[in-house]
Amino acid sequence: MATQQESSSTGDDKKLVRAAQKGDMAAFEVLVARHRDKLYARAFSMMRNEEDAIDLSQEAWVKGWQRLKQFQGESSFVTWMTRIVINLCLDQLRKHKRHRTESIELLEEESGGVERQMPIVTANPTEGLERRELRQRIDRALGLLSYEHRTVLILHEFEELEYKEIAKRMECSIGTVMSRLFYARRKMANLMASYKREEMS
Amino acid sequence: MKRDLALKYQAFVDGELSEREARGVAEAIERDPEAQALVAELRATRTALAGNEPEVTLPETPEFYWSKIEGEIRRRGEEPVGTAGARWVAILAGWRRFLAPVAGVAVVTFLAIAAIKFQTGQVEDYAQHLAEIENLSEHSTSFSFRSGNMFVVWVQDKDYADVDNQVELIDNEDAFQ
Repeated sequence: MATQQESSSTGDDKKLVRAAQKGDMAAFEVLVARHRDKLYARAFSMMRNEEDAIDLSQEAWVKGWQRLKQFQGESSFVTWMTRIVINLCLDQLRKHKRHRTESIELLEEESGGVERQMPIVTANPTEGLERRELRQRIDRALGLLSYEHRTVLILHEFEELEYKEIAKRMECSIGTVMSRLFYARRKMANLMASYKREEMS
Repeated sequence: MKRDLALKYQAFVDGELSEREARGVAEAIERDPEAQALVAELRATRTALAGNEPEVTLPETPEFYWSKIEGEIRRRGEEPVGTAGARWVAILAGWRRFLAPVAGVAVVTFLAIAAIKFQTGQVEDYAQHLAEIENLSEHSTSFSFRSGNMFVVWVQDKDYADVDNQVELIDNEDAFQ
């Protein structure tokens, strides 16, 4: 059922995109109304800041409108828009990075071995959780990661990009992507386990 | 467990290894309980995250959110016209900056050429042309000189030298003769 709805929504998107490509602003407004939450959520996941997430998601829509004629429909419209917002967030994060020192997590990861000292979480800490609760915990844990680890996790787990594509977008080596992803996952597993322990106690 | 090996297990979980490599790693995992535990944890984390991106609500009303996007699109939509105009103004302003130096160089060049001509005696030629001075009467004088194909006759009233002089220009010397 969900797939049918998604497919129908994509079909409707195509018509709206065609209209918007001809300059129909009302059609574009409908597309924004449909997907604004998803785009804002992605920007917020990456930036962890409401103001930045609003600004960047809006900028993505403006850029989307300007480049609409370049959209050929190889992917869905929302995927295309999501990539735009991700690129804007990465640019912004890179700008921020120039003005701040390296995070403790990154230094730990680069020094090597810290993630291997974390105990392996044997019991699944997310088992039996309601989806809403699971999402809340994921959100809480993501907020504790450095932007490098959070971004690589988002691009791999939510955006489903391959290592090579992530490396290209983050302007780093595949080895760095693998290392960051490994650290981020291990850290997430341990944070989720600690939330489970909190709940038990 | 070595770091490289741990990263290889992760690549195995993510399906990033070639078929041959994946077979080798799977065999290694089967033989190693620690590797099995690590792979189980990586898989559980991956599964927990997949499709569970935190849901956040846009903290602005949809109307306000859209109005900012629309405003920006319209502002930038007009931009190319504005930008083109501004670009021409900038280009002209750029050229205007060079106007004074170019004019200066032109004046200096002109003066230099004039000085060279003066020194090489071209002025003497003019003096030769001006040699034909004739006193037509006690009240008037005429000067005549040649320059190229031009023959110039200047008749001057001695009493009103400053105001009543006449100049006749004849373009063709032959016609004059």
